[in-house]
Amino acid sequence: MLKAAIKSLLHHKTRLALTGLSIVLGVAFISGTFIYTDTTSSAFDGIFDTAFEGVDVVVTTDSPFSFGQGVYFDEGLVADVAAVPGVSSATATLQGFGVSIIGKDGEVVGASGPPKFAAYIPKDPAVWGPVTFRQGGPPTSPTEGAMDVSSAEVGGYQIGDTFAVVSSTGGRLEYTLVGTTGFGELDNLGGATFALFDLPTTQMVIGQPGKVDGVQVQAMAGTDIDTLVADIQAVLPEGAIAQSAQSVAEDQAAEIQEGLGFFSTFLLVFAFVALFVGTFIIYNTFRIVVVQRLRELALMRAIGSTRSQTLRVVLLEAAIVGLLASALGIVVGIGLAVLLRAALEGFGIALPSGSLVLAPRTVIVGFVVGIGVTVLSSIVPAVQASRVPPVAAMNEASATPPRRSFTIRAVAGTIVTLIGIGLLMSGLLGAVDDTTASLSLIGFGAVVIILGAYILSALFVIPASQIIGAPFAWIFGASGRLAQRNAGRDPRRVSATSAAIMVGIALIALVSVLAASISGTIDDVLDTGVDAELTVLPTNTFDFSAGFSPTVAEDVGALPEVSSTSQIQQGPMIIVTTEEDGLVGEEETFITGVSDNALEFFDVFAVEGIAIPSEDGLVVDIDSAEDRGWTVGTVVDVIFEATGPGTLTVEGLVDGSFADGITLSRDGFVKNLESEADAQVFVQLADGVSEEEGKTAVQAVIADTPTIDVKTLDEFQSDISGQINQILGLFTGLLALTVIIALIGVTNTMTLAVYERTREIGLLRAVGLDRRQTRGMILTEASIIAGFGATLGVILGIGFAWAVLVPLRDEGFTAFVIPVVSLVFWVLATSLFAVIFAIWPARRAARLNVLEAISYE
Amino acid sequence: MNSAARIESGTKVYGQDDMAVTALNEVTAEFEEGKFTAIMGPSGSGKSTLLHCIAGLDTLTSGTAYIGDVDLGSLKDRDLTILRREQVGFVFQAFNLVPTLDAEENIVLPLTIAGTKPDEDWFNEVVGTLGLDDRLDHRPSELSGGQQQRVAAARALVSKPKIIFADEPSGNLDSKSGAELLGFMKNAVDNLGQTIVMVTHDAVAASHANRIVFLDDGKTVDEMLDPTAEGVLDRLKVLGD
Repeated sequence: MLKAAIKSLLHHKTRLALTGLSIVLGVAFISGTFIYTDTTSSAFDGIFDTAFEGVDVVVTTDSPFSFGQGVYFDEGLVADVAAVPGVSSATATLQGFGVSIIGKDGEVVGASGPPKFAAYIPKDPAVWGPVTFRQGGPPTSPTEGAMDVSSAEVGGYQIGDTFAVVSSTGGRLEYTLVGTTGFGELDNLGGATFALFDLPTTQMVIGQPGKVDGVQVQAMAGTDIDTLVADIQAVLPEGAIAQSAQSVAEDQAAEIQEGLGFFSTFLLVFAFVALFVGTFIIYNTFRIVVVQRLRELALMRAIGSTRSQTLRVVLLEAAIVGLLASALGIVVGIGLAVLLRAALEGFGIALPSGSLVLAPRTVIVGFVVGIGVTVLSSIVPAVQASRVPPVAAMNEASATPPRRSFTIRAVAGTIVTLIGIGLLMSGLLGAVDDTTASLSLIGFGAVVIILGAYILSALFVIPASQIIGAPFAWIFGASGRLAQRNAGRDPRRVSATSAAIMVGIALIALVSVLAASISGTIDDVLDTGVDAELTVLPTNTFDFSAGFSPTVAEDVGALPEVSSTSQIQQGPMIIVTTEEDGLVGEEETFITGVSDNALEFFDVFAVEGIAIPSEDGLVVDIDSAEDRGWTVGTVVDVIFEATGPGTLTVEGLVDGSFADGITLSRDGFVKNLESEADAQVFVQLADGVSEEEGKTAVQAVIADTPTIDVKTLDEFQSDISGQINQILGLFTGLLALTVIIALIGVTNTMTLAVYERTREIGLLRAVGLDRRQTRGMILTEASIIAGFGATLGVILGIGFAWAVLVPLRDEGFTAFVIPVVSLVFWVLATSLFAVIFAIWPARRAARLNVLEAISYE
Repeated sequence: MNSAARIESGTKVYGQDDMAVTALNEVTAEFEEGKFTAIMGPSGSGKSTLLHCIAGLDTLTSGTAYIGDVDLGSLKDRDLTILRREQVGFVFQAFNLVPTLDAEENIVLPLTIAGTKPDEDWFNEVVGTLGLDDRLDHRPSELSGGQQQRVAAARALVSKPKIIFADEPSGNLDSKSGAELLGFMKNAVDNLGQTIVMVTHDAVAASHANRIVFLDDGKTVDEMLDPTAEGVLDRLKVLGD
């Protein structure tokens, strides 16, 4: 039987190779992701093993903030710890972010994503951990500094050069470079930049004079580490925690794993989409192969093979295809992992070298998924094959399938779709508390909806092919009209073919609508919510750590061209909630600090109480207040990273297009977050000053601070749209790949159609359809099928986007923008691209020998 | 005599070298305008090949075939297709109709392909003559075998071709429907001035023709004018010997 399966596979090799492509791609994504993460994390494990070499106990901040700056302690902590019995030596640690190294060319060193650190490097090499000096040594005076070797290279600095850093609190500062460092064999850590100084300089640069953020402890020989940890903990202030160096190393390794985990989740989602699309294509291809072999299968049955034998032959074929495709997929996956690494290094992120890790898990999962998906998708066609009656050997393959009732399909499709919508909505509306659980609910719901849409889509094939085919019929005349009819001929097959396209386009439409809506929301806010001509903000718009000094606002405000400025600060705060059952919850949220003149700049007004709170109060937008159950006078328990637990009183409920979330006055923000750094400054120009003149004037003031930039509001707006579109481009690029796989299904379907309609095409040729028209007829049909799938996808995608955005309306996502032009583009592009995938069957149809096609015997 | 189609020294060889089979061997024949000609012969005599070669569906190995004055051998596929569309009608033994089109759409198919509209009076006359008035919106699957063949005949007639080729048009029909169809075809020749060339091995079918050309072993062997069924059968017996 294996022989029979292999023989038949060889006979259909081109088609099955194309089919297998979707499995190859899916498996490649899965194995590539695994190989990449395994390789990287094994290398990082190595680094963290050495991170605390020579250190026994580590004191760090125990901050509940995930986006915080970290908690700082008085320097006296180091002496306190050193005095604990059993401690041989105690060294301070201190680092902070938002400190950019400025290259010789005046540009900020490093990409916009990874953080930019300033850190204290002690003189004692024993506590350097993984840091090694490539050249020179640690700074020993307030005029000296060191940096990681990547930054030195990018910045163009040699030992002895003078380099500049810009910090959010200290402004621009200059130092002499005395050393360059690496991390073990790595040149940098995930693209982060490090400027290294002695302790007082570090404290000055990050704006924390007299502070440290932790202590590294070396124990005396023979001291029990667990006891020592407990003894040290006893002398620590609140917010500090002592841990054995071993457990910290493990924690940090786990954190890196988690960081990489996000990345691999992203890639695994694409693997899943590719495989999901693949199931439709495999299902359809095997059905097609079964139809083409109808006579052969019937003959086998007639000469005595049993139903279950027929079933097994088809499933065995599927298993062989799955096996080959998975093997190829794993090989391609290795290549993908190498590419991924090269791409990240291209972005300036050094990754540990070391050989690729191909874990047994990767290979097993690759084969199980690849073979599993292929075999599962071919079960239905295999059962159909086993049901072919022996008598079919004597009959003609029929070109038009029997017309079965669509009633069952309509009912089943509706039920499945409704179940899917139910699952999706319950996930979106938070029926379960756990984020992972609700995400899986949403994902599962989306898959079920897609299945429901696929089942239902067959009902619309005939009217849809009429509508989509109408322009073709108008342009191409008879061949267009014939294609229009042909496309509606076998609704089940067409819906299976277009379903694969539908999935890819639905996801493209989803991300397009989301991106357009986010851009639209921002446009709305800036158009109607802000009265200013210019804005000063970090060069990298999305760099949250890159606040800048309040002196910028002062200097800009002092310009004769400027009438007024308003500062915006941003930072984290924890809201402590107490439920009726006494459960205490903590929710981290971003809050805004605004200048007293904010009302002159922004569309915000008090619905109740006041719009700008006092030092000990907050105002909140009316929707958030309702969600949280706050009214004017409510006292909210909060935690700030710098000042710890406290309370704020709700002093006003505000509304307006700029009203969003929780807002503090500038005084309140500075007091509680102990930070004066601005996130953004808005500028109103004096009467008669043009935007260009104003911009030039402001540029002159901030010239020596390359971390910030001045933009007109229009530029700001298009900048944000540009960045959103960049992300959108990355997503749609990957998703377009799945659409291309899906179009392979069109090739299969059209090939079968030409095969089944041999005689009919011969007749058309005999009565006067020329070759070009014949080709056109087949290509047009392919276009109609693809256009149908893409149209369904767009509808579905818009639906998904709506479902995602509605619950976010309270979070400020007020716009629901359907990017009509780009969605129409995707439908047209898919429809036209399908032509390429139908060229082969179309040529076959055009070259059919008329005589053979019409001869009766 | 005006000929609607003719073939001069037509030879058709299938295969090559040792495998070569000569289907037509130096055949010369002429098909008169406004006449119903039948081509008869035992199976393997080359009668279908002859029809295909004069109809422009197949090409001759040597010799020339003409429709009107046009040498088919000089035409490229596209011109040949247009010639078939405009000057030739076909009625095949089976699978004459496109299953997705209804009867009316099938009848006007050659005109639709050419991008022209049918002459309405002529269309009505043809449809009326063939008794298809109440069947026009039916799909082929909803028509009887006889009706399907009549739709095919209507399609062949509606574009007013120079010549209609029929390949065993009644071969799949019961004798009553077959006789009806052949009656219509004869009628089209006698009253509407059509030219029809029909291949058949059925003496009764052939007896509807004005003239019969007998073919054997790839050669024309005999002719018969105004045949009767009995006369044809007698002649076939002679040929069989």
